[in-house]
Amino acid sequence: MIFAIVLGGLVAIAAGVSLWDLFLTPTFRRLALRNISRRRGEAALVVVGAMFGTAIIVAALVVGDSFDGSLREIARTSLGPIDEVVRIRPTTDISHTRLKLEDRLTHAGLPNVDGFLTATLANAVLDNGRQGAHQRIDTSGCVAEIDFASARHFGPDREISGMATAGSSPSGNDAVVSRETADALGLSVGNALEMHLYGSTTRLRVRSILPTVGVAGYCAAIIPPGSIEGLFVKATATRSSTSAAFQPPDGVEFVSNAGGVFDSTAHTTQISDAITAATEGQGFGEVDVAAAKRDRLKTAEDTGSTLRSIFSGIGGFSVMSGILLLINLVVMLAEERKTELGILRAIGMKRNHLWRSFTLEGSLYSAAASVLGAATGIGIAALVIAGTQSIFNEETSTFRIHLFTSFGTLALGAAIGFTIAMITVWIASMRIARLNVIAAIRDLVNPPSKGRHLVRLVLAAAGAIAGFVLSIVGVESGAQIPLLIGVPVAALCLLPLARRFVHVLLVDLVLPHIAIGWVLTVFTMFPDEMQHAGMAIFVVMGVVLVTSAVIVASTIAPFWPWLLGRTGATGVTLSARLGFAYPLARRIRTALLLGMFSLVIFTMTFLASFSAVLSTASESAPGEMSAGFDLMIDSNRSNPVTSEMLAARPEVADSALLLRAFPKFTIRYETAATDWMVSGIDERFLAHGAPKLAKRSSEFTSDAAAFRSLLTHPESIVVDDSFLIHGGGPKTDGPEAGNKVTIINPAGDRRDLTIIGVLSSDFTMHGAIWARSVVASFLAPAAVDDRAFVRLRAGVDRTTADTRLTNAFIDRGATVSSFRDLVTEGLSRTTAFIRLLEGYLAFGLLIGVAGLGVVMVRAVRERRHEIGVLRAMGFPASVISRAFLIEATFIAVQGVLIGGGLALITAYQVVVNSGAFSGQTLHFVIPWSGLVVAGTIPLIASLAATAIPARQAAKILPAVALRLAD
Amino acid sequence: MQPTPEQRHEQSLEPILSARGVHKIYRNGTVEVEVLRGIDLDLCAGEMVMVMGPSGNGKTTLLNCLSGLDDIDAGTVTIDGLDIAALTDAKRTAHRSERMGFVFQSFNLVGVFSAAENVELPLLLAGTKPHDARERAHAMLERVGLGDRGHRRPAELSGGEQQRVAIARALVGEPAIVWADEPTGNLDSHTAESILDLLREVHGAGQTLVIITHDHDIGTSGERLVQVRDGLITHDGPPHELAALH
Repeated sequence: MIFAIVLGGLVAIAAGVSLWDLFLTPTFRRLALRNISRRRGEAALVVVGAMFGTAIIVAALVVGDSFDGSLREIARTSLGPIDEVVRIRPTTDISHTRLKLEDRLTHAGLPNVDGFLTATLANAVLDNGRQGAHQRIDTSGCVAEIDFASARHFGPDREISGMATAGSSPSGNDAVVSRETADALGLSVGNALEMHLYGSTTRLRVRSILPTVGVAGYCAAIIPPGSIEGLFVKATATRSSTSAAFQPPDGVEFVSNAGGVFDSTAHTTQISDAITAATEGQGFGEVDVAAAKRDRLKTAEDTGSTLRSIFSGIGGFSVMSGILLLINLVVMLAEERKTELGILRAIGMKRNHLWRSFTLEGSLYSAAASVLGAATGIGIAALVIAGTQSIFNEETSTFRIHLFTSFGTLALGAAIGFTIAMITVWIASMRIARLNVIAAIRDLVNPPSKGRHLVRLVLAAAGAIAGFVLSIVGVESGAQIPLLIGVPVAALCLLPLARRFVHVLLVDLVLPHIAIGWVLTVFTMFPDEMQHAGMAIFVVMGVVLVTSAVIVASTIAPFWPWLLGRTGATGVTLSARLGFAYPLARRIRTALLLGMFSLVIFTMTFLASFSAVLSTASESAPGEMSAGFDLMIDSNRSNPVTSEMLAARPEVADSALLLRAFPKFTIRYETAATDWMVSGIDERFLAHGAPKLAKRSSEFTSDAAAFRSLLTHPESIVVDDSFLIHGGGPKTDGPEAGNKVTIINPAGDRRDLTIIGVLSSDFTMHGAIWARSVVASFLAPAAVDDRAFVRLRAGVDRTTADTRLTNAFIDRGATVSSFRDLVTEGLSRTTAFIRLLEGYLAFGLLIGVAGLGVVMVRAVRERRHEIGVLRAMGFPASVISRAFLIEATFIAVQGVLIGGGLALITAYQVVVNSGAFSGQTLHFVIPWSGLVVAGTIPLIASLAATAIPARQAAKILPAVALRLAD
Repeated sequence: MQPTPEQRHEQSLEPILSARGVHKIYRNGTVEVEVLRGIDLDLCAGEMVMVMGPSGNGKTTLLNCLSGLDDIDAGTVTIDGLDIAALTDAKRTAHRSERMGFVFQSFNLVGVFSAAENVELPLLLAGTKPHDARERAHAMLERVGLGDRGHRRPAELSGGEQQRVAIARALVGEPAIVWADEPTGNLDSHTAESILDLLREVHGAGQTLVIITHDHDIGTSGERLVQVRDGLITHDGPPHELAALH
């Protein structure tokens, strides 16, 4: 909110001053409008240059909006009138107990409740019953028993319950399926549907297909009343003491709150508390009240927010590049009009008049750029969404991300872009307005101003002191940003001061190197403080490194023409002389351009490095998590594969079942009780080894010792690296050995545990690992043996065993995976998402390339007269056009070297010397293919972007160019 | 060794540039302005020709057309036996770099190069080795009195100094003709006089010079005066003949 107020204030001031001048100061208006109309093409270039930042910002916001909106839409369609889901797990007399629950809730006088609907639910394996390639299976499809007559009256609107045209409740062998399930399994009305549940197979017939909306779409299929309980009772009666547990059916009460689809969640807390109070001690056992709709909306909001921050964070590099480009454009604009500005000052315009006139013109450009940027941003967001959809889309999923945005979002993005552009123009205009009148008119160098020099020194001293203070704060508190930037800020601010006492060359080489050295070694020097570096850290790192490197590059730049001077003076070297001369003579402008380009390359190479580094995990991770087993089998919780079934298979030499449940946990960085998987292990799991730990308590000499200790110490637990962390992007915190966690069972009982180890990699999604005996006692009956680790007999081929076991346990919803498959699948999404980010950054690359092109177009304009002189002297057109290409290449090559080189070193430091990957066995590899892309595409694109202005330059007729000045 | 008066007389008999019936029209949309309306002119080696006339009467256009900087609409301009109007742009440019030097009113030095770098440009263009080019540039700067200013950029030099650098740049490649368009137009009278002295000195060493001016005193200070009015040559001969006419 504060940010919005400050932003709004800045926009209001900027727009206010400019609007005042536009309408009430005719001189400024005339100057601004005529300068724009006089050179429309160049004005368009400035607008294009200024719009990049807005486009990136708007794209990030719209991507967030789209995920948020799409998930909210799912909440609306899949839940409809359902706000809370009250769940009980009676093991006997299920229908009676849930009807008793409904009766209790109906008469409890709950406030703001619109209605109740009772149902029995279970997770079954659904099979279309066909053979071969046409067989489709849903390994964990929700099946429900619902009374259709009651369902039609549930909630405020029949349409959103999806039951308006559902007819009567299914009976006999009929089933009613959702459209999503029908599409996934290839079902039509009249088709057979096999349901595998509690050890039995039931053949059903599809009576009708309902829209995937509200109650109708809550489960995959609705089956005749009594089916689930009948199967459960039968399975319980025939179950031997050694056979596996299965998850009992859920007796469910859907609650619809008063109000609309979304605002009904305002009553969720009140109603949930009232339900808990009403059911406590009433003999229902554990009553779980899930705030289904509110949680889903929160997930939508969190996902949107995470993606917004990832894209805007990584887009920060592009925005920075856009700012540098804009400064360059404004400075070039002023340089071209230097004489005109000098004359305006000479005839009586004050400095602030000049500034306001320039600002008015800038604000018109900024306004146009923010509108254009907002439109472009929507286009980029659409591309990002299409890319994301292709990465995360699954064969059986109908989840679609739609482009959602609002006027508010676009206005916010445009306002941020407008403000950034305006502030840039303001600052650049202030510098321009300080021109020396005579120097401007006669096109001479501005004489140094003692007062300004003093101000600069005072500011530099203040900056250096601030840098030292930040360093001390950073070291003392371990705060990442002060720790990272303190020394670099001090070193770079010392530059103007140190130049007074030490040779400029020495100062300009040593101090930036100190800044670079610090940033690159801070991960090694302060591994604990820097181990959970977030997106902001990487953005700051990139900016500090590139700034320092650009200062060094500017310092050593004169070396290159000197080197060239040692060679012969052929046509090419003459072009090179010209090509080098301009960047060297205008160091600030060149530095801005180089900074812009380097930032873009830095980000792209950095991401390419991570992508390559993550791929190395596929080599080591399978062995680290297999614990000496060959395959992992996940099965349906209501129909799990048992140890007897596994023992009967000829391929299987040994197996270990994992008893899994989904309790709530808290830890120091997540104090709200959060659902997280826990897997119970026993001796059999550790019979052939143990998974690798990234961190473990110092009292254990090996990972295996830590796991064995789990079996005998119920107060100990091992957790995965992402324990209780939601969302993507770099983690800002994580679990450590020795941390305390609290586990909460469905009855609300709590146990405090201590983390003794953190898993190196968890592509298996074990979640937390605890002793099987305590999982059974603390979390029953919610805990089920739905996962098995399998060791194959010697000589059995893994692929063959995979196929045979899948076929054998098809009715158990078995998914058989090798550990390598799990890693490959887990990594493919991560790397694909990184590629998506790289694609998003390609827009930043466009800024770099287009920026270089725009600057070159302006350079041709600016140097028109000098080109005429050179042509008059006899310089061939080819030498002139080559000079422009060499100039662009000079900047682009430096940008590639600086950005690419620094990104590789940074990635190396982060991978090898930091805890960013929490000890995962990752090896730094140079991303050759990424480097080729990040290196050659910008170079080629820059040359292509410069080719047009270079040709224009070559075509200038000397007499025409000379006539402009003489 | 400087040529003897006899040698110079022999040289001067051979025209190195010959213009016949040169017409030049500027077009701006539908508006056409005929700036040169049939110019005939011969230039002989070693001459110092002053082209004089009021502003806007075609003096600079004449220079541009005769030197090959601009195209002509009719007529011929022959230099060293070559009709430069018929040459391609590339050949004309190459010819210009080998045979001509230019001095402009607003100096037109390349701002990002130092004085010495500006002077050595024509030599580098001709393929001279960088080291030799730099030595000759310094020698030429010495000759124009700027031996200690070689490292300075144009913006760090006074107007007179910039024009001296421009003259050094025009002469360093030993061109057949040096064209000077209002070389003193942007200078005060004292500096202008010193620049003219330098040009006279250059001419004294045998250099062919064409100086364009609107200043009567400068125009009548040479050996040959060409007066241009309304796109036509109204006088071509010794300056005193023009004075006699008036």
